[in-house]
Amino acid sequence: MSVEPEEIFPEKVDARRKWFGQAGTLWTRLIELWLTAVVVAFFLIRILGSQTAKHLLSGLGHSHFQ
Amino acid sequence: MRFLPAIFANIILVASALGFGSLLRPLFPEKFSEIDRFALTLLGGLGILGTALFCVGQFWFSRSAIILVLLAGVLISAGMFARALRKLRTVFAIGTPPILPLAIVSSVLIVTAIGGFAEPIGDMNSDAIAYHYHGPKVWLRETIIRPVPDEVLTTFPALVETEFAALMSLGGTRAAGLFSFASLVALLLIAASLSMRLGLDARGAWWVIALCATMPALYRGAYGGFIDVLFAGFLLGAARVAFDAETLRHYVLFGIFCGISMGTKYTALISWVLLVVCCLLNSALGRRQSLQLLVKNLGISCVVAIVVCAPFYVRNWLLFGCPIYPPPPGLLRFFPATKLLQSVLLEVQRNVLETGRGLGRGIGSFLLLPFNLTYHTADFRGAGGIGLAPLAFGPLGLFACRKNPFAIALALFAFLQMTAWFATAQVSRYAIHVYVLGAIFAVLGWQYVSKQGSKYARAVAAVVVAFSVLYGLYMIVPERVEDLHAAVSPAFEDKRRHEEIPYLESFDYLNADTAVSKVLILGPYVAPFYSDKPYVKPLGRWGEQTLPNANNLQAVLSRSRELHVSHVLDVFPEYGPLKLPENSPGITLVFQGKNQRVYRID
Repeated sequence: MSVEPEEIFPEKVDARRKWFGQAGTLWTRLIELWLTAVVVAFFLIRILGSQTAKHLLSGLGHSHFQ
Repeated sequence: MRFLPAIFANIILVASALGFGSLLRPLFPEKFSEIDRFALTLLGGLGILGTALFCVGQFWFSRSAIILVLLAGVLISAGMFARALRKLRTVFAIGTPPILPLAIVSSVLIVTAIGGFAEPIGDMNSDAIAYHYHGPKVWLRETIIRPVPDEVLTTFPALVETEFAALMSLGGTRAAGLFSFASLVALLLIAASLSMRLGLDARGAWWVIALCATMPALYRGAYGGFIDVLFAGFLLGAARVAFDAETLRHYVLFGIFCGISMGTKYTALISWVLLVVCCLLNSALGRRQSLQLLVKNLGISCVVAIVVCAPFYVRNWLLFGCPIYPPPPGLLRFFPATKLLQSVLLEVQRNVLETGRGLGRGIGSFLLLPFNLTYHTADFRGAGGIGLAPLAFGPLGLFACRKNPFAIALALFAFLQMTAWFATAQVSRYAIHVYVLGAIFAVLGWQYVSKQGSKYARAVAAVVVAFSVLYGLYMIVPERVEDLHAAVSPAFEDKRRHEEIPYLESFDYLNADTAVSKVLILGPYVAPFYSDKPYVKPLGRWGEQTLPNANNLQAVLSRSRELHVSHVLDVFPEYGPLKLPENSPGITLVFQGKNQRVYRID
């Protein structure tokens, strides 16, 4: 008859599961953060930073203050 | 009707390449899939065909010679045609292709095919006009392959350029433009082959192809006379074989692909060394064979590579005293290139340094490379970049397949290659093969996010892919709108020729007049590509002097009479040092246009 680890050291197994759970969540959050940062940087640099966007924004600002 | 010769020429060339490529099939590893075999047959065939044309062209490069070489390949391919047709379904087999990537890839290929029909235009700032298309045009006229004396860059390895020449001979200059379609397809096939080797399913392979096709920096190396996409295909073919090589046959095949790459571009010399190092590490760590046997096999592959690329380098050695020409300064110690003008060497070096400056050489710039390649692509002549996906998913893809030795070998090669690229010439087109690897790791990472990530991560991942593809198309399609318009509208094409080709009226006059036997072109920046008649250009754009001891106008004119020159093309404001004065004796003005004059030598 085999003995499951939970039966001998239930508190240690719980702690390990908790740690992996937290690490898993942290890893998931890191991935989310990384992907979001890449998209936001693209939006800021390649779209808002482009000549077309600058032209449009300056045009909008110009007409707004007239 | 005006497109039919170009289509015909491309079909013949690709059929011939498939024939020559089928000669490599006995060397393929048994476990290679049909898509591996098809991609390597096409790429290897294009390499063998280009090398064969180059070798034959050293002695005889008439249309008959070209047709004979092409015919040999077509005859070989005829034998395998029925079998190939049967297997074609297996090759693209990928069940029902996913609609979205299929639509993306198809749209890029349609744009490439239609845009490829446009006649080449431009001035000496266009590499195609200056040497990629110009060399082949001169070789065909002179029925022999020799570097053009007034353009030092025609001494570069010319494997793909000989295929341009074959296409021009059969289908005119449009045929060379249309070859961009075949080049791009060849690269996408090897990308799919590598993707599936790394464990991606058919859907993943299609997405890799879609990401590659919509990378503006990759796409820019496919058309307009650029050879970089095909070059990247050859290197990836070498990598595909290298990291699965086990027997001597496989290493011979690896050597053939390395040789083909070195026959295409000098930068492959570095890539070859890196591939050999990565192959050594991969096989040694994987313990697939004893170290002694591995070193022997790799040594044989190196010998094969040197033999395959030898025609291009031995030709330069015999003609100019140095296998790599124009030589890097360090090489001059070993190969004193006697025919080299120091000023030409300095000018070419200056240009190489200027175009390859990128974003600097410091460690900070190196660490920021992934960021800058994604967001500041113009600094690398990057034509709009490589999309977001490699930066966003690449590290995750690498993490996901960290236990796959093939993936590790590819990643190591990509890292070493980018390091070498950073240290030498930071021109975006030279790194296209790494961009393809970036796309493959990106899709691996995307799959990882789809499996492991949260709902939010999956949504952002979809946004990343959408931004990559849409931004890529947004950059690619407007770049080709004029080519598309020129292809479908003869009136627009004619208008564009007049706007974009400098001194076109004079070239039209000289090409149409049967009394013109040879033209003297005085301006160093005038593009002789547009002359259908033989010409003499005493000064090239890099300072080349083609008439020895003729560095003033009187000497040039007197040598011209010896060379049976019938007409002189003089243009403004590009006089250079050979300014022709008004009412010069011995010449008669026969045509005058805006900033251009044609004289007949009496």
